[in-house]
Amino acid sequence: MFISLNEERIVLHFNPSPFLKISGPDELYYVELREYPKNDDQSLYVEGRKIIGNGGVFEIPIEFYFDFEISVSKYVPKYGLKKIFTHRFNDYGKQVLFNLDTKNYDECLIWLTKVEEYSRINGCKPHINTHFDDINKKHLSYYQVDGVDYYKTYNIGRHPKSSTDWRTIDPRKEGVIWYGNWKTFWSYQHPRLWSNLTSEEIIDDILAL
Amino acid sequence: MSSIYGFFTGSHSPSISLIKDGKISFCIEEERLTRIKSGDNYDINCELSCIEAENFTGLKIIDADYRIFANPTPDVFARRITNNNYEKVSHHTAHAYGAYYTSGMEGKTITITYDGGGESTVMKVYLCEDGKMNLIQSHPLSSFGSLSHVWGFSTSSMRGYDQNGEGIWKMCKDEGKLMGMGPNGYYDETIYKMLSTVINYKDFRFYPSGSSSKTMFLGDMMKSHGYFNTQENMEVFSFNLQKLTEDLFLNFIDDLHNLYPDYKQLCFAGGLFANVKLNQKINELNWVDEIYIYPPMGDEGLSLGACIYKAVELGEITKPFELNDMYFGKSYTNDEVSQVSKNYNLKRTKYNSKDIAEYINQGGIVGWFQSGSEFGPRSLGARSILVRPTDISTHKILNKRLNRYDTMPFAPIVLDDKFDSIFTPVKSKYTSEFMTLCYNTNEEWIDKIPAVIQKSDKTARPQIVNKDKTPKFWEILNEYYLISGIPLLLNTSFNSHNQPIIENPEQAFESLKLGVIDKLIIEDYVYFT
Repeated sequence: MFISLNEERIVLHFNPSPFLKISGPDELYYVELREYPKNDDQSLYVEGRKIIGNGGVFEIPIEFYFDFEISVSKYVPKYGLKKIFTHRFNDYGKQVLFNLDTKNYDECLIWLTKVEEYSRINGCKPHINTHFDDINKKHLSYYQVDGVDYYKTYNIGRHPKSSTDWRTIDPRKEGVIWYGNWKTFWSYQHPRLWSNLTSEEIIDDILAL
Repeated sequence: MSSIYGFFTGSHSPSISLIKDGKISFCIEEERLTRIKSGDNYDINCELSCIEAENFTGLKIIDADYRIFANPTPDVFARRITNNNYEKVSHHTAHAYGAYYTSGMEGKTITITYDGGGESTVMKVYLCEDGKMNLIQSHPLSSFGSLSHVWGFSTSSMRGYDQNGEGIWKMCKDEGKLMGMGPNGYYDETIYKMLSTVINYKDFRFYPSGSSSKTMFLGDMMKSHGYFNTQENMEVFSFNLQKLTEDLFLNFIDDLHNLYPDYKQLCFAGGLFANVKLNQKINELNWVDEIYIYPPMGDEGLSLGACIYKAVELGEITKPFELNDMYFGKSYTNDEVSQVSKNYNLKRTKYNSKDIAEYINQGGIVGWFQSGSEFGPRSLGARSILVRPTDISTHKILNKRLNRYDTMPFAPIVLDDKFDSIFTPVKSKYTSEFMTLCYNTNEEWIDKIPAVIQKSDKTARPQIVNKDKTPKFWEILNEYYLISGIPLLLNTSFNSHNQPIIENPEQAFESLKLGVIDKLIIEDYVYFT
């Protein structure tokens, strides 16, 4: 997704995690990813924040669904911080890719059903990619290859935590990825430990169904 | 009755404390031993403090009845020094228990903790009465802004960064410089509103969350646009930061009062309350009867707070009590000091309070080393430098000898029975035994004691000295009063700029040899070159 403001140009997508690149006249910009708690109309929780330079990239490697908002602020002399861009995640009417990363045929079918449920609830246009050609070919999106601009990519599967994440190296925090000092995730793809979850629970967790 | 070791470690300001049989037995902050200020030395454990505590008290950590860590706890260290036998208590709970149970307050009291974040919380509020604490508010860091963050990141932005990306002024260490220069500034609506974009308050909520990064961004951008290039602008920024802090926090306090109008005593702990100007404003609220600030208000006080929490849980502390003093560190006998002094080729005479008072009255700068070192950030008469308060030129001499910035005002000690005639408002005197808030100076005293008054707003941060609690400290002050007619002395911490307060006789003797002080009183003797 490409957004043009007065003087700034922004590239934004969620494939698979929030990604924002900004170009503009200012030396630095402040980017923040915030979460809306359930039943709250204010985005209270800060999930990630970064000061980036002109042409810089903001990327937070959370892949599963949560209700969040990304914003960009700049410094305006004699005013302070001015919010110049804000976008709340909403895939209604947008193309969303679901990679169903399982070699179990039955599980793949379960996940496919869940993807359809998610698409119905959120109104997105799903694209499916599985390890099984017959499933892929049954889906209409298989034949849509031109003009595809995914708004969001979901990787559905059982993904271990990143081996290079410094947050997991400390033995005090072994097995846990810390975010913002108050939340723990078991990997960037999962909101909780995936190893003992059922097929349904895996995809329900990731898509917040 | 039990022995309880308390710890805070693995971040800034690590410390250890020991409570035996319901009494505070020993406390020390690691920086006193490493000789590196906490703000310069993050993520260390209280290794040296553990050794010091065991050696001085004779009680091994593993032999104590209980060991308790204030969170966040580095478990690898905790397991090692306790044989994996320890408990934990929440960061802000430890702050709160330390504050309330040392307040001596009877009746309805509100205890508030506030800092840059411990574990996951920036603030807790308790309703307290008759030794019982009831948590009514907990503000998670994830969804609340923090005034402490705004101060910390403003501090590190103001002077820029060194080659390693470290702030030249550091958070958790140099915020006092901003507070000290603030009164020299003035209200600037633009700056005030700019700061309001990173922190504000409404309906019990400090917002927006993420105030740390926002402040850093704002501060760095102001720095890069050249705003902080002049002393005047730094003072204006500091003034408005202080004003905003006071405005927001007083709104919060008033909102609390509207909810709980019967609670007119307030206890505080957490780094925010190192801000003696904020404390002054709270104390000046008409509806407030008394406030108390836990003397080791920052994270260094968590080890003692953890001990107190455990002692309360065990029923060994049941009601708030008053602290006699804060001299909980290691003390030295005359013989031990005498042995050390042999390495320094110094002269020595028996201490006589009249002679030393006269020497101070003539302009002498005296090092004062008595009993155990103070626990907390203030020199309160165990490791102090005493000077006459009447001569403003003292500032230049002291700042030169101690290598300090001239923005930092010096503080007085005052005889307890003379306080009422010099400072207003006349309340919260117990907490002023620990130099934790400012007062207005009465008009007739301003010209008499210029060396201990903030030059712009004429406030002072007095320490009340009580004859019954600290008799030797009271005696030297009283002798000076009898000679000069002035019941105050300038009391500044016994350390050079950027160093922790001295801990042992060797460091005191080094100061004497280097000419930082003219004479040194250690226990019952006067040393000089």
